[in-house]
Amino acid sequence: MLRLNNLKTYFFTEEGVVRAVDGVSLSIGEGETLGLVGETGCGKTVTALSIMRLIQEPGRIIAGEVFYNREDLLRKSEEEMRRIRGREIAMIFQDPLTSLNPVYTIGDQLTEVLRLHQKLDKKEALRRAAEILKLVNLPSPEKILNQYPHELSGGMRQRAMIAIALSCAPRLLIADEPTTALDVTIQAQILELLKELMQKFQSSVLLITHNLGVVAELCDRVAIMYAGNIVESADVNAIFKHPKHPYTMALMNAIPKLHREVERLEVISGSVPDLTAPPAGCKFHPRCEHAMPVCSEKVPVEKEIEEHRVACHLYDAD
Amino acid sequence: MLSYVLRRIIVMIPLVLGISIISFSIIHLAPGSPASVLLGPKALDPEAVARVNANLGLDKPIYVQYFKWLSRILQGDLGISVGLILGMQVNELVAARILPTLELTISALILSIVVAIPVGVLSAVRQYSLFDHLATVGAFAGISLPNFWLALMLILLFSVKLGWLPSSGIIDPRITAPTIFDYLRHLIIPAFVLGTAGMAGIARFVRASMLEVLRQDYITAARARGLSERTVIYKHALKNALLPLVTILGMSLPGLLSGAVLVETVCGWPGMGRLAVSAVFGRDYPVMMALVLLFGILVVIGNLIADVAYAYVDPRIRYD
Repeated sequence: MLRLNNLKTYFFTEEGVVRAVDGVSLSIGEGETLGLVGETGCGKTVTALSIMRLIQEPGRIIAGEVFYNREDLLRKSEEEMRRIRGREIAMIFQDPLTSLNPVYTIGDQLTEVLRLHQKLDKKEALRRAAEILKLVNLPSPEKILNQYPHELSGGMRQRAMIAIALSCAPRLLIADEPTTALDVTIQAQILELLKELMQKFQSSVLLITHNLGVVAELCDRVAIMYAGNIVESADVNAIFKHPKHPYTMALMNAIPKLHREVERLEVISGSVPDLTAPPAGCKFHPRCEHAMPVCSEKVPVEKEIEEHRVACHLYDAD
Repeated sequence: MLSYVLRRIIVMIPLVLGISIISFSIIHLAPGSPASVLLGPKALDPEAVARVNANLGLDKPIYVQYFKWLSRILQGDLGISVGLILGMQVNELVAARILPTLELTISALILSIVVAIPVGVLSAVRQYSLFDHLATVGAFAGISLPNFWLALMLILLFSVKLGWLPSSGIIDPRITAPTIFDYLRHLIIPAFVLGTAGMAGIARFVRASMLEVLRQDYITAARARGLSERTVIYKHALKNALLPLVTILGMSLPGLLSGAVLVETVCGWPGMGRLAVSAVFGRDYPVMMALVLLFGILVVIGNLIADVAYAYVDPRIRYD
């Protein structure tokens, strides 16, 4: 239902062109949950905002296609996009405190969306809003409708955010690190809630995270992103059992293992490259244990290997 | 909230007392005295000066004078003018001047808000557009042009050359039955001049505040819900951007009142500012003290109103 084709979103800053998303292709099927995984700054959020067409200056989507139900969102007018945002495609943001407007009540912000997209009148919207708050397991919804974001705890705020996002039953939900800003105990509760709601609503989900545990818990398929590119995508089991791309392998090794005693945690040496001047060839080659001469010369093409799609020269035919 | 306001009012008492002690000392220690003004050339005669000083009680030590003045004030008596209109009750003198000054400053404030907020918002929404650049230039002009010069230029253009507006005063005494329109015509130049600095400052402030708010996550989140750009800017962003303005307005009151001193003098506006200038020249101690006290109380009350209003408009702030 959603397919990105060679999407490129660049930021034209004074320091140079930041290639935040540099040719991303991925797809999400009906009712499927895709995990988009990568380090901070690799372009996950920009990918999500590009799908919503919410990239702000100095950023621009310079190439590619975003097919939603076979229609290219990049060719839609701003007016058409507004009808899609919040109704067809909704988004949950990382930090519920900064993503809820501090000077309006939860009720204001929730009924606003209902009245806009479902054309409910004020009374109906309030009733529906209370129902939705109950759906995300918030206690005494009538009270919360009249409360401001700062009066709620972190977990309650994120539940309210999820309520706003799901209020119009979107077909696609983009969740941008929905648990990162929360306490570990609250994280588990929110994950549980998301899981339950995803089953109930049967929506497709693009789940952005850098937490592989969250991926294992919720996703059907995984796409691994590095420096603006998808380096590997596959079924969630396949990724965890047989990672193909050296970056994916390194990520898996970096997960602390309970049953093995180790002196130190495994890390990936080096850091995310500067996206104004990324390394030539494969962008991961300076940090890659398996780097070969060809890696710094040619950009690897995506290939299909045992149900994985991998962009790595290790799997070149010759 | 009520207890907060009461506490603030109680704190105001020592504050106003402090203002009165400092200004009383400065006024009485400054060179010149009512005697030198009242006696004119005869002020060269030390005996005449001593007689006047004794009459006015100015021969006593300054703290004695202060406490005498204070005890009168507490009984609601501002004293008797010793310079301007000799023997006139300061209460009456000042009472007639309060309303014109309030009328002028409040008009200036309203005018600057009404002009500055839309200009600031539009500058932010269309950052670096032609409009934004023009607004920036206009704001710097508003801040840097001296009030007295601007007032004179406007009077020259609109009163002398074009004859559209009256050149001074609050109302033309020749008009027997003045309408509100007559009053407004007199108000335009002084209110505009007094409002220019605030207008410029507020416009710059709103622009900066709005740009800051437009970068916030909740604005992206609002857009992601499909809200129109209008709703995003004028509902979600504007309220957040205007909250800090409440404090700015409270703080702008001293500037407005001191600006009124100049503007009232240049525009012949019969308010407290012009009275203050005459009182200084006449070394009229009781009138000067009365005005300093009034200005002080107005500023303190203005700040209190700003703080209370802030709690009222911002749900995150509650005083208990």
